[in-house]
Amino acid sequence: MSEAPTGGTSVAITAEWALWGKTSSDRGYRLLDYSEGNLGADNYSEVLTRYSPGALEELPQVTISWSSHREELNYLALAIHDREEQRRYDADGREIVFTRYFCWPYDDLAAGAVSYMTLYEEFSRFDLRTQGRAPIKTELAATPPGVPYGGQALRVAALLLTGKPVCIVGADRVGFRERLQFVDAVMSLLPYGMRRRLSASTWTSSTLQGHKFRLFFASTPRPTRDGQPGDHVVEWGRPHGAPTGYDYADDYLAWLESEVKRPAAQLAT
Amino acid sequence: MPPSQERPDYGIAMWGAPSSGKTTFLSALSIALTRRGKDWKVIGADKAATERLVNLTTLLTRNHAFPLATQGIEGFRWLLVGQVPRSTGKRFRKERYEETVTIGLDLVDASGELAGPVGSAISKREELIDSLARSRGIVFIFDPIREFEVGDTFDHTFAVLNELAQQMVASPEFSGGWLPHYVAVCIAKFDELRVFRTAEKMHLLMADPADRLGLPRVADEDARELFARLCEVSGGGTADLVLNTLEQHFHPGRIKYFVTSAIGFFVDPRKGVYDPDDIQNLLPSEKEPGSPRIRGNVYPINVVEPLLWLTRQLMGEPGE
Repeated sequence: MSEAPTGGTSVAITAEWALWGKTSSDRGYRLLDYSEGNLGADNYSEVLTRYSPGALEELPQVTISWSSHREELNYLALAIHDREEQRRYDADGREIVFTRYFCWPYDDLAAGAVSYMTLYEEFSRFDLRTQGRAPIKTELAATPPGVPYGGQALRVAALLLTGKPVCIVGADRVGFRERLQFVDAVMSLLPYGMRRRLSASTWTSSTLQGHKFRLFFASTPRPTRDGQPGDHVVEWGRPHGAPTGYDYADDYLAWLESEVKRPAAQLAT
Repeated sequence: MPPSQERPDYGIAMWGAPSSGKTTFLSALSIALTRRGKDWKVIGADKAATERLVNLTTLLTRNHAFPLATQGIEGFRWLLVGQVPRSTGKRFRKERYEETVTIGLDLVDASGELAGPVGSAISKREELIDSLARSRGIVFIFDPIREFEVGDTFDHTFAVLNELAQQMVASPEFSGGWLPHYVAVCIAKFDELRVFRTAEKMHLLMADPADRLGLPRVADEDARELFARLCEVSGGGTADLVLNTLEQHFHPGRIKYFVTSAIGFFVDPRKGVYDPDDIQNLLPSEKEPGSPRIRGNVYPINVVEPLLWLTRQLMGEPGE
């Protein structure tokens, strides 16, 4: 960690990346390009389909995921799903949504709390079509996220401890930036071990089957199928004071409520 | 008579190459039912399914645009609600009445990439095979235009069928070497000139007497013949294997062929008539190069029929 020009601290990371989309002559989505590094084409294809948020009407959106490499290195990833300024269409005239995927060893960021918003703002600058094959080296300002949104972020963090995914509905009219800030707030409240392996999305298709996001926004809850346990459903902006129904989650929520004034980054160390 | 809430034991899965028109087919379903009259309608079984139905339908009707390509596997439950004729009593004292039935359509719409020959996205590929194994009705979309231009339908068919057979070989339903599914093979994009002209040259065009606009169709009995012909003229050289592969894996008595179009032919909205000299309903957009626009209203052809046929087979009601 080093001193940032603004007087705060900064963290240097080297991000491997991949670009997912189509060319104008393609009909199906595919891996268009990726950087040199530890991860190969199969790794990227697997992780990009595993953590797909489905067809997205509103853009941009951001997804956060993780992967392991050779069972040793844990990667954290941020993917930006967006259209190009000049809309592009595939061979069948369907609009193309591009996914820019960036990943780095989790331990590179563990030393300093860098928010997902900071990561998004940094990586959204990169046009991967002109990047060559080199990984991206960059310095990010360590800006521990605050904990806005009253008790809702605390409750969502506690619910995530139950192992069931949390679906947030009713945030259709909230911009994706605010949703990303909420994800930041929730992540900062989770124990270190959970942050390493938590996946989140600022928007997800409600009819997408079996997606792997633990924390996600959607227009409606996923229907429960085959008797599988459903998601916790939280309505945006409506605090809920009732017990979660899980003792350890309620204990954690009570602890968070008493400790929330402490810097959130302390929870991640 | 109270409506029956029969739920089929198994759902219906959509299967086809990328951009073959699976999602557009579903987008056209509600419009097709509305144009057909008052006998059947489709509704969502839950909020998410209703939202999907509304979004897909309004894209076609209001925006005259196609849905975004599916990524991953979308699954939702729609309900076909309609009237079916019933009768009670003995031969000469039969009482006829109409019964309201609700048929569940557990639809699985997978992105075409997952059916490709190289399943690098292994986990999602397995989900596709699982969803096909769980279903007992399959809508198989054959896109003749893609076959003309890319010629890879066989690649997308062969690999999936072999993986499906491998998964089901120990099942008691895998009897006589056949997979247990009913398959509606939909020869899509009938409105495209190359497909239309091929059918025309084969003298397969006919008009449904019940259709006041007189839009052209190909009879279901002739659909397999058109499929075979389209396979012969494809660019890839392996399309003829698609037909044989399907009929090797599924009992021929459980396969039915349909010639379909999600958007149909152009009907002049001012005159309200179909002009055989001006049939194309899909034209390049002047505003957005590369993005074709649907020119007029949507008149789906054979979109309802494959689903009704499948649901009736699954409910043990053979015949139309």
